Amino acid sequence: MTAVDVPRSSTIRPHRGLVGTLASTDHKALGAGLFVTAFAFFLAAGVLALLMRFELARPHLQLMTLHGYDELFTLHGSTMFYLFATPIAMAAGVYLVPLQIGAARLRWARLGLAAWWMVIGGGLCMWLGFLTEQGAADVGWYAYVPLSDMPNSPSIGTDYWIIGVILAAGAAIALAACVLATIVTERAPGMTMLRLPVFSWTMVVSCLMVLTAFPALIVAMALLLAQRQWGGVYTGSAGAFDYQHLFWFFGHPVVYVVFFPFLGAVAEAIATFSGRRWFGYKPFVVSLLLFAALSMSVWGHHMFTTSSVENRYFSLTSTALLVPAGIEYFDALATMWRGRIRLATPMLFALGFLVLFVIGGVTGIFVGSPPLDYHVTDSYFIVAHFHYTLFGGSVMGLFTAIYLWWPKVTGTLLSERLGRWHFWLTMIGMNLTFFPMFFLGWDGMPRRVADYPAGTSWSTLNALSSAGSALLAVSVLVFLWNVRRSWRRRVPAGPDPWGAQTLEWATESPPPRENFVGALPPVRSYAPLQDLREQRELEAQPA
Amino acid sequence: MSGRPGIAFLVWAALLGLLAAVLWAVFEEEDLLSVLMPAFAVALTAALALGGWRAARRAAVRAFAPQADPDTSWPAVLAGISLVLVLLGLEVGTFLIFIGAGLFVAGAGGLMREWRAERRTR
Repeated sequence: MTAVDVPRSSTIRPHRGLVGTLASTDHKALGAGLFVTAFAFFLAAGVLALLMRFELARPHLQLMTLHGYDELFTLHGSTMFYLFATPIAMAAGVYLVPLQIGAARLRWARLGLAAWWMVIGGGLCMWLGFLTEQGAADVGWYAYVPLSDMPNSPSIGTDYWIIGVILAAGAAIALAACVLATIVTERAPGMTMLRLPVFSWTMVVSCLMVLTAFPALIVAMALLLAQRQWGGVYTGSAGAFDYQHLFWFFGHPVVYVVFFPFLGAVAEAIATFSGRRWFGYKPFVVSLLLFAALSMSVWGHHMFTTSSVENRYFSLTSTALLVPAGIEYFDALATMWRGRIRLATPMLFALGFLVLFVIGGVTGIFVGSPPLDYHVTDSYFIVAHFHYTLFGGSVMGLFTAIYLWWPKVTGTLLSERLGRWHFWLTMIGMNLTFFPMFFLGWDGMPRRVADYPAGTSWSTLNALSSAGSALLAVSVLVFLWNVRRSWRRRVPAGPDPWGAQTLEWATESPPPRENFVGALPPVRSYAPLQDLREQRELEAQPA
Repeated sequence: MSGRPGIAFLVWAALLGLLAAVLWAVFEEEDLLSVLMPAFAVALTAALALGGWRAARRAAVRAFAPQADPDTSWPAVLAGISLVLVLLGLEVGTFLIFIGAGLFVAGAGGLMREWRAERRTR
């Protein structure tokens, strides 16, 4: 067994304190900073969601005006997508990918640093609208034309919002370029593409999708800004369809951009806490590439009811997503099969992810079928469906990642007891919030409304949903309490508290500036530490 | 695909191209954007494959060479903030565009200095 030397970087001047962190090119400081920024936006968007749910808990208007509600759902959706989910997925890649591939640094770290500040600036631009006389953007996270042109949305807050979206999209492209370039050029000797850890593979496909899909969003938003200033860009119904094509060419892939990295985290957690290698690694890689290609080819299913797209094609590609998704579910179940399963908090969240995402996926087949989509489009059914994919997928996956890699990032342990409380409150709260929405939508309740008729079954279902959202808020508070407790008690985690499989666990917790001190373990597969463990077990057996 | 990221990118470009070809040829989609956007994605991924191939080869050559990175980069921060100001200036006023552009030039100058310093330490 030979160890592998990796290239070292010599730092010119070590950074100190918060001020140094704000300008650090160390991928760990950059990743952590971006992560904290994105999580802060998650909390802010969560507060907006709570306000919306409080408003909808009872019929009639209680807390806000109709226009105020429009502003809330616009900023909730756009903050979640542009400022939370995409940046936090990229933050995970920025922090973890160099460690997983045995690199000492992030390629083009200064570009990544500039991108972090663009995310902060973009976020402030979007939220700046609340301080303007006519309020924040009120056009939804998609800003359909003509609802978003000047006569229909005259607030300057909408212009600020468009600028914020352009900045956030540009930042995502820059961050994806950094992560992809790192994977291409900074892999340790022996780390071939087919030895990349599963999480790093999910980052490869996410970054490819960002680079190819996000430019369409920047074009759509730049033209929308021009349309608002001078007009004549998106004219008539053709202009409205053109805008939707541009927007959804980005808008569907982004769902997978914020899903794949957390699928990778879930895969790492399942393999680690089952004590087995990830089953079917190569089919998984191929299915990821197919999944990503298909998800770039389904944008038209958001436009079924416009009659301006080829519904048969987009229905076919949308339904075909089941194939790679099925492979990934099969891999996950086969990894657990006969494994030594430990139900630690990351594993609980990973299992929660599998259960919730399957509901999102199956209802996705409903809305991938044009006749059913005609029935439920623009209803609460859609809201329920995409929250099962985005909350059930991305947020459960995010918490899997947080609980899994917290010891590595901070060098301390989170409380398992509070983690379990967090998990169960999230599971119950999530289902209580979003499951009633399927019935509301099927029954015809439209989305994006602040009011609904009294004396119908909608009242009860909305009340249940609002109670669930309060429970979700409590679950987040439990998580924050857990973080605070971990920060104060500082129970040391050691380099590898879980018995994990990939290279990041071969270094200290938290990792030093150059990531690895001394030689790396030999890289002979995508699970080098598992290789070592199995070799030691073999050597320990009597001849 | 084993050692070359370019192959992975090419496989993905081929899958994208195949799906787009089905849309154009089998379903006879004629909408300009439905043709252009997938074509852009395929072309960009193919370009990435080529670029990735070359970059990986160059990286393999200098795999053991020492690298020097600055630990902090205020010029990069300045460049990021200046872009925010330039774009915000489109709405707030021309003065902000000029301030942002000035800061961008300062940031770019700082980045040049950093790159030079890096090259000297190699």
